[in-house]
Amino acid sequence: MQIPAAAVACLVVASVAAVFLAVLWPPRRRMVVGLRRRADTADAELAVLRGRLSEAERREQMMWAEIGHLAKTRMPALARNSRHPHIRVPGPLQPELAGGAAGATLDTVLDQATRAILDERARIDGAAQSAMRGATTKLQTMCYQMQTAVDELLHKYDDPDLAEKLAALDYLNEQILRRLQATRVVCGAGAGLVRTKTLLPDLVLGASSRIPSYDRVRIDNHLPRAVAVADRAAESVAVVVAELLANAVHHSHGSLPVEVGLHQAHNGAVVVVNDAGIGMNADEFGKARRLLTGEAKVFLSELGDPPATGFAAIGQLCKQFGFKVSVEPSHYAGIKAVLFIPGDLLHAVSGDAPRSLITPSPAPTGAAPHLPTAPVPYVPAPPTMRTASSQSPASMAPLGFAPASFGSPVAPSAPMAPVPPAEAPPTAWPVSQAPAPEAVDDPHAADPAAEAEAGGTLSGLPQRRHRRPERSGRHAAQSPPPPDMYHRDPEDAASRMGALQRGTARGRAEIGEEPAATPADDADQSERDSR
Amino acid sequence: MNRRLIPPYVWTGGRTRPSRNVLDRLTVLRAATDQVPASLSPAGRRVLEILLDGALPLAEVAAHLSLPVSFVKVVVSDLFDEGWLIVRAPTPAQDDRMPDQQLLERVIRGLRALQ
Repeated sequence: MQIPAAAVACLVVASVAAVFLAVLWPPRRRMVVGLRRRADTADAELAVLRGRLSEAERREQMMWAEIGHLAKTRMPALARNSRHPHIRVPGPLQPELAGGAAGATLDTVLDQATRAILDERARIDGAAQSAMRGATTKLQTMCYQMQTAVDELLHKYDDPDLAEKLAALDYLNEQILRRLQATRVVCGAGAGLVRTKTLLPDLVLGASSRIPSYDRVRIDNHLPRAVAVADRAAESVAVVVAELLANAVHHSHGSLPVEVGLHQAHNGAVVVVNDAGIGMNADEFGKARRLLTGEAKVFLSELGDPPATGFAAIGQLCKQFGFKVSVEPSHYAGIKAVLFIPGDLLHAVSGDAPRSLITPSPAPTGAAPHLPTAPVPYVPAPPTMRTASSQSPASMAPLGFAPASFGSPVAPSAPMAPVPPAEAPPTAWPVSQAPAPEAVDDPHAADPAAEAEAGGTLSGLPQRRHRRPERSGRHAAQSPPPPDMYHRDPEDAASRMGALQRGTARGRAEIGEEPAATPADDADQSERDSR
Repeated sequence: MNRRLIPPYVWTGGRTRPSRNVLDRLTVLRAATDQVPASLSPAGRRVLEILLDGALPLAEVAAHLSLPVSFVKVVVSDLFDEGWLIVRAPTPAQDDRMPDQQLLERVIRGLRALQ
């Protein structure tokens, strides 16, 4: 029985092996499963890493492209945008960058570059402006010197040919001055000239003399009474009006008039400049209105080439003095520019009858266009205050001014009162050629009133008292007119003027001042009666 | 001293040649009207306003207006052409008549006082 033994042995061996295998197999299996799982995990991680690598490569490419875009497109656009605001600076190439940190960093670069460009531009423009300020100041002074020289020549020689050339020079000089003033105002300086208080119609007429083809300007004065611009703003008003007129004349046809109207407003005065020119489009109106506010800083580089200084200069002066200028299409399809001057820059000028409302009336009095009268607070209630303040010499006297209504007698207590040119007629005319020599042989020459009058203005020089223009509306209105103005009696005028002077002195004496000599005179009584 | 605001050429529109050549510095001007017509130019109005109170030689009108004589001549000859002015040649000096001595003394005193 060999075989069963062998079979048993095999069986035993097989069993042992089976048992051994049964004992050892499961851990092995677990190991294999574990290994397989780790391999899977590693594969997954590898895939993720590969993905991230490719993503990083893609982002790198994108950043390169973005930086190239920034350098080649966005920065030049930014530089252009600072000169021409209508050019749009493009955004990032990839929209996904816009919200991220990289996009924010790139935007910071742009912001810093913008700031640097603007600072540098302001610095360069400021340097250019200060150079222009210096140059125009010097040139303006020289132009004024030339104006004085030309004026002296004009007064010295009365040859028509010479006068024509000199007037042409004068006109050229005025236009140069206008451009210089506009330039320096744009560059942040003032008008460069200070005037005394000046009547508004005078300022407008003066402004019209500074532009080409001033003969096309029609000035209509609708002011119910004379209004003067305060001294600090007078020249600036002239500069503003001159620029408005220059615009109007330049942009309308040479055969068309430019209408200027002066109007009173509730709390100021208004100058309206109306042209029938080519007008402006909506963009130009927008730009003009932006400049006219004077709020934004003016850059010479923004004003075009050659720089259009008009509206920019007006805007600067508006901001400085509180004027307001508005532009709108006119009824003639041109431009209607309205300059409003606030009441605190205005003085009501008393002393003369209200001027004719329609015809251009450039000056208030016949003889003294810039007569200093007492400043009257500007209130818009018109006609009554004029008489109240102008016709009472006693109320004017404490201010030290000779009232405008009265002619030559200067109050004794105010010998230094400004004497308008009208009151000092030149005596270059030989006395022997006087048309009425009988007046020289004055039988009442020793009369104190006549002496006071003769010696009042020009330190003792005898003056012809006849035929002197005597702007006295009151006398003309209240005394019967002489039969012939030409043959008016000089003694009568002398006695009336003397009586007036004594009355003034008496009025002063009554309010406590040092009494002046008050000789009794018949004319004194008649003078008081006539009041 | 206030700087000039309105240049002389504005008053005449740039003209410097009068339409009359009879005018002189001493020509006596007199208004031919009682009131200033509204239709006149500003310069014409100013001249007439000055002359409404009496006759004056042209040079004095120019001094009142602070205008050069050549421009006043233009304005005046315009007014003369339109009939608003009466123009008279200056009265010739009388050789035989000496000026009043008292007056001359006053003139001398005044001139000395000016110094």
